[in-house]
Amino acid sequence: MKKILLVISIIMLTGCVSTVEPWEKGRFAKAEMQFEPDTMDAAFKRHVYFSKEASSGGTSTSGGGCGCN
Amino acid sequence: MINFRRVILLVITFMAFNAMAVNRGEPVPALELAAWQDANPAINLQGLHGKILYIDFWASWCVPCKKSFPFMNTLREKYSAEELQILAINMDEYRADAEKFLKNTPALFTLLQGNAEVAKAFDIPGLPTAYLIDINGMIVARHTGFNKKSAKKTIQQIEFLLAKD
Repeated sequence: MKKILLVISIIMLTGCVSTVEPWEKGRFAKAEMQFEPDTMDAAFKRHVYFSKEASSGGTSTSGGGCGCN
Repeated sequence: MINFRRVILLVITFMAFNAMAVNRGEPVPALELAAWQDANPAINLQGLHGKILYIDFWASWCVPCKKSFPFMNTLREKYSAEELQILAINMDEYRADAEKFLKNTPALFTLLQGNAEVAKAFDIPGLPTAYLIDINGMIVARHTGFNKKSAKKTIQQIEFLLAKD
């Protein structure tokens, strides 16, 4: 009985695994799906963050963290 | 020994799945695709033998497609319709997205509406993907992505096919 339950559970779990095909990735490309929907706002926030921390790195940015550029 | 047999069986199964995709030297799948404009008749990919075919899969969200469209327009202008037929198969989920793309990126070639069936038959690894098919309906080349190098190679391959035929 336990074995049957285990097999059924495994079969049900396989339903969670579905590959997104290359031609189905249109929704990922939409603006609302981006980590940073507003790039200008994100750049500004990064600038303030690195100025306060007096360092840079982790993400792409220019300058040495002086907050003057 | 039993485990070994199972592994072999699994490998054969995976190989069978891979065999479903088209490869170079194989005939183009016999699929019928709806025309972009409803008034135009559907096109059967195997019914276009006798001329070189350039089949391009594209979508509005595919960034390199913005560059591949002008390239296909130059191909259209460079070669006659008897020499080369260009088919651009759209893979957008929403037609409105594709129509918006086409307003900014005009197409001088034939547009078709794609579907999952055709994408699976060609086993496209990404967008854009282009296939070059000779006059006998055999796939001779596949280009995934688009850049200057692949554009140059495509022209060389078309020239080769034209000279051969």
